[in-house]
Amino acid sequence: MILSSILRKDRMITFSKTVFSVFLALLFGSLFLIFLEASPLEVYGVMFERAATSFDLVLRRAMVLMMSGLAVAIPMKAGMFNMGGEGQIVAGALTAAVVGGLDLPIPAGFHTVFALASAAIIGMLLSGFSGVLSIKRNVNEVISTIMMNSIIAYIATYLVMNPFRGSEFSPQTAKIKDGASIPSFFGLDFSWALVFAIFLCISTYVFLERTPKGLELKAAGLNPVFSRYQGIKVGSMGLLGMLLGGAAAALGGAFEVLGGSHSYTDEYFLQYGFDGIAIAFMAGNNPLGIIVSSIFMAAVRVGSLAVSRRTGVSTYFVSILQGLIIVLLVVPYFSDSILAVIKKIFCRKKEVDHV
Amino acid sequence: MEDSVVIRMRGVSKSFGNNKANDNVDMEVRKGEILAILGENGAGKSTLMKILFGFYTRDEGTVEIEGNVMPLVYSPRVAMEMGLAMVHQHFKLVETLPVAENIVLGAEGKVARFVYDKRKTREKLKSLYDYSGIHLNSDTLIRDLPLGDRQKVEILKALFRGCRTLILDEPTAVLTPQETENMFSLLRNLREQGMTILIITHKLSEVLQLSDRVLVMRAGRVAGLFETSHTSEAELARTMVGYELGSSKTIRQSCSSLSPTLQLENLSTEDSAGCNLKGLSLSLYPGRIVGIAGVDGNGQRELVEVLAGILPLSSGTVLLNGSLFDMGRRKLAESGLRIIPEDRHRQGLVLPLTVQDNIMAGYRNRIDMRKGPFFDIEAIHSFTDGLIEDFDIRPRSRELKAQQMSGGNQQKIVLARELSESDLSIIVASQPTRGLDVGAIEFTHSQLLKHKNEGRTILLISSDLDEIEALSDEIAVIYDGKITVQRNADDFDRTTLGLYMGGGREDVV
Repeated sequence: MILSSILRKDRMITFSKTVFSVFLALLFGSLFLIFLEASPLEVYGVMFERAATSFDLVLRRAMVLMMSGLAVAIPMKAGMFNMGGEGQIVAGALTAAVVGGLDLPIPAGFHTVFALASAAIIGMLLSGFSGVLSIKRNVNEVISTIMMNSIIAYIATYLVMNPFRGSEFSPQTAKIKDGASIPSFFGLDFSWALVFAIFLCISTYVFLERTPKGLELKAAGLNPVFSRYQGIKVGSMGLLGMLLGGAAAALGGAFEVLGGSHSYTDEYFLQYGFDGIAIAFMAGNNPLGIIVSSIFMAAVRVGSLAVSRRTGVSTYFVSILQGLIIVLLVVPYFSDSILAVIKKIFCRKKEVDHV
Repeated sequence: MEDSVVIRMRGVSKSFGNNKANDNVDMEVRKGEILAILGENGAGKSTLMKILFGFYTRDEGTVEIEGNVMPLVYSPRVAMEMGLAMVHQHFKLVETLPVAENIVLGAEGKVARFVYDKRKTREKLKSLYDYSGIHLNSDTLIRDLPLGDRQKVEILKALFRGCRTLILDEPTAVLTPQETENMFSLLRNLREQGMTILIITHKLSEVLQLSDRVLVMRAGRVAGLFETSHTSEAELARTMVGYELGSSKTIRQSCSSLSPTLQLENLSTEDSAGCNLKGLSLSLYPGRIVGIAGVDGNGQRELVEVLAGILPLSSGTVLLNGSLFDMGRRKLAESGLRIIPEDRHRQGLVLPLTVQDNIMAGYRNRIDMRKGPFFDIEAIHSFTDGLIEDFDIRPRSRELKAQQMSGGNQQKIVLARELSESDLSIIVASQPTRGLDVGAIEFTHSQLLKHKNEGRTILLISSDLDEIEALSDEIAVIYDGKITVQRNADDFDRTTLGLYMGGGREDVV
């Protein structure tokens, strides 16, 4: 039953439009590459090969990006723009590293849960702060969350340099205790956190589509006037969206620290939060779509590492590609008109065939 | 042909997606006549005028203005240079500027070359006032003018630009009966001066009063063309909707022996950006419809928002079944008050959500719709399917988005949500048929009458006097945030109603 509602016709149209936009972006990207005197086929080939051969790395990155995508999508459903994923991930990761590094007399699994919970609470405090400012004081949450990113980044740098420094040679925390770690997924280069992240995406979908609160949240985001008439508390729903978003981002950072790197290194999570915006956009804020788009984005990112090494094209090329994808998605007019032209050519051909 | 033709449109078609808004339309306008273009909402009248005025580009057909064949694409500016002018339903005036500046704004070149001279402008406008018979004070700010006068400013704007053909889009929608009469004599006067006038309307009585000829449109096509003197209201109505009309009328009953369900006493508000309530008092009775007549923007929206619990009261009391109701703490919705809001798209529906979600938004907290924290999908499906059937919502699909439905079916979604709860006791219907086709209007009226006969309390707010008169047992008039009179519907005729709507008080009328 859920499957049939997922595969609804309008959703399939959205999905194929997204794929088309991605395809167009790759096409435009190849123009850039030709301009850079590189062979597009080779570059995309290398990217794809690298992503395929280190698919566990892709999944590890996708796990964080999934949570980062949710951090944008959930508030967006409630009508709020959380652009603070970047900072919230860092805060969550650092909190998890510090709490995970404590000597606590509790059983192994509980230490993990405790670290995750602390991270989630910090994330909620950060996004909730912007949310309350926006709802109570009418401070634009886009600006406050973006500003918070820098504040958190510099505080985090200070903290790993000084009080929480765990290594003489680099700005990073001490290794977390074994009892706080999330086990690796059958020895592969990603942890069980991936399963949990996917579970959270599905739960979010169920929450939005199958619960009264989810309906209230969507209604509040799509039409606040209507919602007031129906007795829905629009402000509370916006705040709820922000809180869930902040928690998701912080958990993303915490998952990677507890299940992957086992310590927090300064600037480790650079760009993850902003990638989340693109991922949510590609998925049309659909939590299930986020699973797919985050894996795609992770593949592009991982693949691009090999591109600069093997073809000499800068890794920044990926940023250009990402920008193109977003522009093409945000401005559907462009890809729509290209689709229309293709349709026209197709239809004309058919007519000729009939004659 | 003895009359000279000013505008000639031949075989004009225009599609929006799969919807043919205009389908092979022919229209001829003779010099110096008033031609009414009559049709229901969505019949294609506005589209046709927008094509003529250059807002839309036609798909097919030819357009001639004063003998000039118009190119496929031309801008409103070109149309204006050809002597056309259009007065829109929503006025395009600068509220903080005086009348004179609003008239010349955008065409200052006609009064000044380099430096704008306020006095010279006013001198020039005098002759315009005399010519048109519209006498306004040049220095009054637009925001201080009543709506009827603002419309006159729009007409003056058109005349100032030297227009020879005037297009009016639903000009009487915001006017009181007196203002309407006033406007009509003004238009007749302009016709005597040689002006050609096109008037878009869906009101039959206006057509018969004012026009020389009537072009009736239905579903994008021309359904008929009549000399006004050779036709009747019944014939026009039949041509307009395509079938004979039944009419919903209430059997009027007196309220005097009843005790009111809901009593509003001296309600005032301070937080509205529009017209705040200023001591509004009103009584509603079980099994009766109280109609509120009034020109838009006199506190109707605020009254509804107060009842919905959105707009806080600054003073006043609400009595529900005789006992005090604390509006600050509780919502009337808990006591079975349901609202059919005036603006379906903003207040009544979430357009991007499905029919099911839009209905469930009103029943989201019902226990029988739940399984633990989740919705009980089976229960929801059978519940919404039942309502879709009962309210004849077409197409019969709960998965379609509200924005994919026609206006009439959108309103049925709203009705299905608001009128199906078992504890329903009071219905507040605000402009419940605005913008609907005749079939949907009949359906909505029959629903209201059904609930009246079942003993529910109904408040009907409408700017359509025909609707108010057809359905109400008692009529109240709202003016400037107050109810100026509430009496038996039989005690009113159009003239007194109009006087009250224009701000007349009990002691004056």
